[in-house]
Amino acid sequence: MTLWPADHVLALAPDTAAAAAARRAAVPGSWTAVGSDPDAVWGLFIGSSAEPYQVVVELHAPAFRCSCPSRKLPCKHTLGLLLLWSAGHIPAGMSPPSFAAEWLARRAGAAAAAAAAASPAREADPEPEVDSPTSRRRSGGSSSPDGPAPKGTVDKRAMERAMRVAAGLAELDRWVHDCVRGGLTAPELARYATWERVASRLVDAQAPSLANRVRRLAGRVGVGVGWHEDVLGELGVLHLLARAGLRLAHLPDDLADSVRSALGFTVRQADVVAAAPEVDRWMICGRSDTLEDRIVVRRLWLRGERSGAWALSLSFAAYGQNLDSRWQVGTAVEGGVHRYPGRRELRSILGGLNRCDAGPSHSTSLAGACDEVGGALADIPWLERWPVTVLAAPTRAEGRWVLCDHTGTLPISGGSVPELVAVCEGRPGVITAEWTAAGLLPLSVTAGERTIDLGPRGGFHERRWRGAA
Amino acid sequence: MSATYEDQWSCLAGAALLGTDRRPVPDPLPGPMSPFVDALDQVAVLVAARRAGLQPSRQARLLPAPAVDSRPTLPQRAIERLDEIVEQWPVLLDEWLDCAGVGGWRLAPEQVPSLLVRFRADPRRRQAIVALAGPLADWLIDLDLAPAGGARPAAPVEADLVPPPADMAVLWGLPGDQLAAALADGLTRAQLANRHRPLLVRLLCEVPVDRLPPVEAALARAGTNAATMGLALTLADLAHVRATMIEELLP
Repeated sequence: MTLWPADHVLALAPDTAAAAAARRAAVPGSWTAVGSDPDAVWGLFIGSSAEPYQVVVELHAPAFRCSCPSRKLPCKHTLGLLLLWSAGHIPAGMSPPSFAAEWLARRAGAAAAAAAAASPAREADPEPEVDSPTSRRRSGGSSSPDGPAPKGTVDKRAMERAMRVAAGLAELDRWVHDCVRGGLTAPELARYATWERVASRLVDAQAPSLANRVRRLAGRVGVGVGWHEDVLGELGVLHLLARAGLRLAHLPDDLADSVRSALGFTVRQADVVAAAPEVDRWMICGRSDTLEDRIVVRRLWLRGERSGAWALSLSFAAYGQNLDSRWQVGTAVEGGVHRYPGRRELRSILGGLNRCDAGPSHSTSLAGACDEVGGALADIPWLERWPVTVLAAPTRAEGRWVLCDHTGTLPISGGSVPELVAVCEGRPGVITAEWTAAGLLPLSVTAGERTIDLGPRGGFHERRWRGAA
Repeated sequence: MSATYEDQWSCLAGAALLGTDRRPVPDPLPGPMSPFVDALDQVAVLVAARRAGLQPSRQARLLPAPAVDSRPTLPQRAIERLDEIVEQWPVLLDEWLDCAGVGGWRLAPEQVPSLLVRFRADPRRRQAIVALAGPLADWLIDLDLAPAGGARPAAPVEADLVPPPADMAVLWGLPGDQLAAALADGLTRAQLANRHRPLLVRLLCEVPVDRLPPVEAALARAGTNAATMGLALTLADLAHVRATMIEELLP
């Protein structure tokens, strides 16, 4: 195959940072076992990790594979290899080594099988066919594998799990009662280790979401005036969830699904996408990245233009990995989303979505937002966040920042207040925020034709230059 | 929610703070809460009611708006370019600020607070940012949303530290094609290497912008020497960013 020009290679970069990093990776000294044939290019990148990264590119599709943990596709190593090839530094007419030959053979086999099946159906995910860390991890951190298991095994496993969860919930409820009996000022409650021990027991009991909730609560002990009311409120919610989890069989199906979700039961993605999608034009209204137990969780809030319904897409990244950055706040996509089961459930899997022009944003008053949030909380009292889009202006009241409109004010719970105030310049703007028990967390603001992403970039994805020089 | 429910919540919070072994749990209120005798049952019900019953507090006065700035806001690509320059090519920042001023642009409001924080101790750049932000900068400072600035002098930038030696000074006077050829040749033969990086960066920041396109193209192709290929591509990126930023700010 004719060598590609460098600008052709760089045009494949998912963003400018990847292109710049690729240039730095395109140094022959960083590579070994490089080679190419008319169909593919391969090489081993010697970086800082113990094992070199295996990089293969099939040139016709093109398709990429790199064993690095990056979620970008193609990653900087793949682009760096292609830049080297483009500059004529990769010897041609070679036979692929085993790591490349196996992947190329697998791809060839899959293509042949697909052709034989001649199925017009396409998987829900709109990404091109690749074998990369992205596709391997796209199923998300909390979902179980999709492969079916024999029915008897499933029943036995489900029964064992239900028993473990029930035992964990009963223990949690006893501990919560002990906390209230002994008093919230008890010295052991000021120690993180106490809460971590409880959380670990919940992980062992296979209730990981509840364990994370306990960990989050640990950080609120002794913080701010009235902390004991915050902690007591959350202990009440833990008690409620523990009791609900022990009575799953007596709850309506949709509520039981919501309880399971709050405890951390997983739902097979195949089951979610098997349900009919909700088709609409979806506005990407907000994004927030939060660090939870060494994992960054990205929440992408979408709102249907026709239905007004909200949907939530979750993605996860461990240290050193990149988050899914396909969708930008302020843009719109058309297509279907598949909702997880549960009452008022917002978490969804995005189906085949195509970019389209963004329409006007739905917004409501602060009182209207309270009604929306109140309705959701009346159904699901353990909700920790709920999205709202309001037309309001940031201002100060009683020494704190609030959003204000003709119906009153609601407190802002932190986030990018300076940026929000700067964009609004004293006037109302269309603001998407997450309701939390502490107040509204601004995620985006639309001023004129521009929508500005203000959502938190938690943990190790914080923008470096936001700090002082 | 009635005051009675608030009183009940206060009693429960007080009892939980000290411990219900020492302070008794209040009796449940009559009505819907009456079946809930257990302290945590009462807490769960009241928390749900308090959160679901959220209402806006009384109205507050809007902030007085800053004076109107009639300059156009930077185009989206220039906003993103500024992020890129601050993160990856700070050596171009002063020229970017100058060009934005000459072009009559106004900084994107959302970038102003973090830029004022970042350059609070760099009077020269801070002054340029305040000028580009217009009345918004003083307004944010008055609101305590941006720092008022300090007096520490700016640190010298990388390229200022090394004066160009005579054998390299000639590069500054070459026309675009010749400069491109000289750089590509020097890098290919490894006569120019990483030890020359500060000077080469300075060169590409100082030559007239119309010489940059041939230089960028030549550097992107100058990858035949393994030792200098990374440097060549880095310099090509610098030439590209500088040429593009000027095109965006001074169309």
